[in-house]
Formats: sequence, C-alpha cells, structure tokens
Amino acid sequence: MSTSLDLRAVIADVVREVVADLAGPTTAAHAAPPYAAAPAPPAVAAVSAPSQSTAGVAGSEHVSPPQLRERVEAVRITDDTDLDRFARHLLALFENPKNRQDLKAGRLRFRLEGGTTTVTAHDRPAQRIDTGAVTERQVKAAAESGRRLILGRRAVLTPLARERARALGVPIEKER
Amino acid sequence: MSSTAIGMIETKGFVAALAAADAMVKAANVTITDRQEVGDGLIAVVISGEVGAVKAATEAGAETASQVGELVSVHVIPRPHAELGNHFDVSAK
Repeated sequence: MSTSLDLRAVIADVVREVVADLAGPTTAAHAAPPYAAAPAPPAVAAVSAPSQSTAGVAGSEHVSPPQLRERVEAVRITDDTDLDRFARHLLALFENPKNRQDLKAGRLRFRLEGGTTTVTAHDRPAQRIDTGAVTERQVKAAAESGRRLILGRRAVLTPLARERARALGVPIEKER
Repeated sequence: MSSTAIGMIETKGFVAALAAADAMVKAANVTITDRQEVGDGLIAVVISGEVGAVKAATEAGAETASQVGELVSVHVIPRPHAELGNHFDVSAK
C-alpha cells in the first residue's frame, strides 16, 4: 500500500509541476508549494527564483505581461554598453530553468527596438588599392570578405565596379 | 539609337592603349570609334556599342591596360547627347 501511496504522491507532484509550467511563473508561485523534493529541480528553481522582470536591464523592457506563455522582449542596442548589458541579462535569464526552457523552445523571443543598428563604414576592415584598375571582381571579393575599399590617387574605379559597389553596399573612399 | 553608349579608356603609353583596345573588342560586341593622342604619352581609345557591351568591354580593357601599362581613366557614357557628335569624333548615333 505504501508503494501505491508513494506513486500517487509522485503523480500528484508531476501534475502540479506541469500545471505550474502551463500557468506561467506568477500563478505557479501561488499554485505550487515551495517544496524541496528531488525529482523536479527545474520546477522548484522556477518557483523559488525571483521573477526575471526584476532583472532591470536598462536597454530592454517587456512588451507582454509575464503571465503569457509567449513573450517578446524589446531590446534596444545602440552601442557596446547596451550589448554588454543585454548579454548579462541573457545570462541572468538563463540561470532560471523556466526561462531557459522558454528560450530554447522559442517562447521567449527578442526584438530590436528603435530601428536596427547598422555597421558603419569605418567599422569594416579596409583594403587599400593604390594603382591600376579596380574591377567588379575586386569589389565582389571585398563585399564577400566584408571589407571597405580605399583607393589611392592612381587607382581607377571602372563603371561596372562602381555599380556593383553600390548594389552590394561596399563603401569606397577615394583619396585625393 | 538611344541604347548606344560610348566608352573611353585613357592610358599612359601606346602599348597599354593598344592592349586595352584589343581586350575591349574581344570582350564584347563593340567597335573602336576613335583614338586620341593628346601628348605626354596619354592615349585615349573610344568605343561604342550597346550599354551592357560597352560596360563589359571597358571592364576588360581597364584590367588589361593596368596589367600592361598605366591606366589613367575609364568612363562610360550610356546615352550620349547627339550634340557630342558635332564636336567630338564619337559616333553616338
């Protein structure tokens, strides 16, 4: 009899965990009792861990309330500091098993806020060409390696190369 | 013809100009319409043809000229004005 009681207790625990997971972290805090049983460490950690909305990342804010299963966080990344902050926020999120599962399953997603950040021309490594013709082939190679072109005084850019550079977005600086 | 374009390649030195002219007529369906020697070793070769052909030809010619000698400039005029023909020897008809 004792084994059937144990089995019943285990089943009840599992059902409670599943319901807590489905209901979300806020209701789970009320529904699931704070127990320290070994069989389900993720649920325990999810209940006992502080809500991830208190992580306080300056560059990010919640768009949807945490009760919803699918969440989209708006993240504003404009410089290196924001990126660093977001990475630390992501690490903090990952310590929470519930958030970790949500992230892996795609229930917790991120979107960039305030427009996308573009790589400025000066962030690219430069390739310098001093003399001769700068052909379409060289521009294509520069685009593939993500470089910008710096042309010396005696380098000549062909019309086809100029068109291709414009199409591929390769920055070309001509020295005077 | 409105789709006719002219292309120009200027080199320093006769050999580079000749090599460029040869590369241009071999690369695409273009014709050499003029050769200008302005002195100081500067030689310009003018070609004409369809816009795409002229662009491809000048690409090949410029590459050849820079390998053989010194390339000074390359330019393509996609739809030259008819007035040009009155004063320059370019057959932009």
